[in-house]
Amino acid sequence: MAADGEVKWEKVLWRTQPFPDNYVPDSFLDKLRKNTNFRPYSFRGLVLAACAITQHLSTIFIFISVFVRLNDSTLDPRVLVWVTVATHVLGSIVWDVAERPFYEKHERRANRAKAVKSSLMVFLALIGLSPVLKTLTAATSSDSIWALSAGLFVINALLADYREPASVPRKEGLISVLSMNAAISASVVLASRLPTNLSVFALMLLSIQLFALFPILRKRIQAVPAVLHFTFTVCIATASVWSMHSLSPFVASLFAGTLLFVTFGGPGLLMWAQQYKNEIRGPWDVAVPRVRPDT
Amino acid sequence: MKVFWPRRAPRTGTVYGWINGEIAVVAAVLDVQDGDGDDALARIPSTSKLIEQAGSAPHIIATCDASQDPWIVFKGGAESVDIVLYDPPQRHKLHFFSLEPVSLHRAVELPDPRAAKLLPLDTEPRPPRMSHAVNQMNSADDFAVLLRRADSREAVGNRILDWMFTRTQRSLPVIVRAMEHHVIPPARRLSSITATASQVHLRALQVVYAANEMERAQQQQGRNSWSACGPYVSFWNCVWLLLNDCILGYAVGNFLMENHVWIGSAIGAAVQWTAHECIAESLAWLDSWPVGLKLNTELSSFFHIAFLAITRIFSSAALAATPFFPSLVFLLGAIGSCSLSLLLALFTDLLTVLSLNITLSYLAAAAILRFEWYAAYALFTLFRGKRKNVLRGRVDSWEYDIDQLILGTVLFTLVAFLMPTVLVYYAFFASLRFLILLAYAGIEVLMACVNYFPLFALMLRIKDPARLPGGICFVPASVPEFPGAWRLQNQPLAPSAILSHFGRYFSSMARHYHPGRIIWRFVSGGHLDPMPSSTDHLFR
Repeated sequence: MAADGEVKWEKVLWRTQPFPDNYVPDSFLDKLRKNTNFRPYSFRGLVLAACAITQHLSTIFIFISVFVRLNDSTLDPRVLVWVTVATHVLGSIVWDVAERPFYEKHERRANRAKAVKSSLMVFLALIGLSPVLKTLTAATSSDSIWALSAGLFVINALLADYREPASVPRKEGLISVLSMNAAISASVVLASRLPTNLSVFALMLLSIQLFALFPILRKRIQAVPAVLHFTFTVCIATASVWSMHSLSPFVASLFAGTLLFVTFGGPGLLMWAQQYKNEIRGPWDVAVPRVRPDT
Repeated sequence: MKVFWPRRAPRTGTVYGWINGEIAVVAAVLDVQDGDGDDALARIPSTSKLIEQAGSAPHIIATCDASQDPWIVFKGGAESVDIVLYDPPQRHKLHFFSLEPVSLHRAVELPDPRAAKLLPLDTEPRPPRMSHAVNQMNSADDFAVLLRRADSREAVGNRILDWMFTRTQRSLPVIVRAMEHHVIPPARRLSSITATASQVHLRALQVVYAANEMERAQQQQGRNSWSACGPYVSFWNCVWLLLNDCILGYAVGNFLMENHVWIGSAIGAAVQWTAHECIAESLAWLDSWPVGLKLNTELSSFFHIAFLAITRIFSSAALAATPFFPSLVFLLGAIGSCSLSLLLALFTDLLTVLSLNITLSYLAAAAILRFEWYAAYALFTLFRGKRKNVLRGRVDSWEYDIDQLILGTVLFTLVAFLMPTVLVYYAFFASLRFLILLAYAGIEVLMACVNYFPLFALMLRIKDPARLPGGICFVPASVPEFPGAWRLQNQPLAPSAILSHFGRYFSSMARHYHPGRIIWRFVSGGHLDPMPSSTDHLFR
């Protein structure tokens, strides 16, 4: 050391060094790394991911407009029942087609039989429970009903599962079941305003179709190529806005605004906020393992 | 050398007593010449029970003379002498000293499982010399009397006990056997249904207990009177409580018999008032949006009609029975004249019968609430994705089909929206049940006081504390003849020790009626029950 002339400062504490205690070397913080794991989002990826939220909100809006029409008696409940049943059949065919590459022939037949049995059970159970559900909250005043159902729909939208399907299908977690609960409760609460048992039955059937079965289909559709996915989203969004348009253009424009904001405005905001990302890492952090895929 | 000196003994004469190592206990100081000393000793019969109790007969241990300088000269040589004065307990008054508090109850202490884990602190017995000294001091007075050739006196209480024992000696085993075989088993079986049977059971147990205690007291007396104290006190306590019971029962029973007309009509009017004004009107109020709560109309009207039907049936039955209430009160008074506690037990049974509609409605409402809580809990298990594994008895994860989840959701909304209605009706009947429970508790407290209260022991404690010793203590004596002397005093039994047995009953009652327990049962729909009368912990 003495032969070099200058003693270099070393980052050790177990040796007495001829430097003052507050000495700042030149190599201070040279190992600091900023935003090492930063991968910038692409607008396209974000929009595609936000399509799931748009689809969910569109179904809520469709439900609300159908309820308003049922309440005004401008929509015949029997028509609604048939439409729901047809949509259910269509949806199960789409599901079957999408599931085809994953299962054997006999497995597919078993799955189809199980799906038919499930739908029949729910259909019959709802027929039996409709009179009870009609009078459940009949005594509550309408104002509380609107507030209660709005709150429950908000809970449903917040707690829903918008993630992409994993390679191994996950089972329903408690949170997604709770969000389905909130939506069904909201429709039960709204159904107590309707005049006849048949309209209650139709509304409940629609709500189960939209809030219990559609999220499963939506998850499946998220794996489809991007263009199809986006087109599907656009179709549903247009349908929801158009269904409200004839009743009240103001509300329809509100719907359209919300959907546009969720699909495009949200990702845009996220992209704009990325410039403020400031992640500091250094050798003092817990090591991040890099998991290599098996070759 | 520590010398236990009787306080009133003269300081001149021959000293008779015992010497145990360092402790000398003086029985008497007689003013005799040396020649007469052995004559005095010869007056003590060698087969006297006193010798057994004291361990040995007293002998001459010293001579004393108040005018000389070492005023007491011991046979074995004089050392430094510490005087402890004591008053010899008079046996005819049943006084005695005891190193440990006298136990008044034969009932065995229920072994505390926690205490068994702790190491016993007091493994070695009391210093044997001290307990010998106490025995000798207890018999000192009798020996003094014998030595002075006076007549011994016998306690009055013991004479009464002996007289009673000799009179009942033949019939006592017969009574006890009859009770044990014919009265106690059926009463015990019925005691969970009616309070009357429970009271009869308790009385029979008490009679058997008293008889056993009398026998024991009589036997112990023959050997030494101070271990007879416990059975003696409990026997007379039982007798006094029984007599009290009879007297008070006679008074109240007569009152009932004289006023049976207006009491009977008052009861009938009270029953009708409860059924109509109290319950029917409250049910109507609950059905019509009580406190602005909007209950489910259909379910509320169903509950209203159902509970009203129960009350209507009951009130029409009570109306038909109203003319018989005065004679029923008369009959109650007649039966209860012999015993107040039996009367109180009959009151409890009458209360049970008259509040039958409330009890039935409460049971129904509680069952419905329990079902609602169970349904809500089961559905929540469904939502969490778990299922009960019956084979292993635990809750496992399980993947449900979508239709099971949908059905569960619909049922959950049903349970959630019907809960307020069920809760309101349950709360009403549970509050009524709680009021009746308070009435039961009040009557039970009265019954406990009449049945168990240790009157005799408390009276003895107040009147003559020397009969109930709870230990001994030494206090400095300020006596001019013996400077620097101590005095041995009897510490009477503390009232808390006397009431401890009684206090145990109250603590079990407090545990049963604990507010936390009551509130938990109220909220979860558990059964609000009156305290089950168990006499096991009192009499074995």
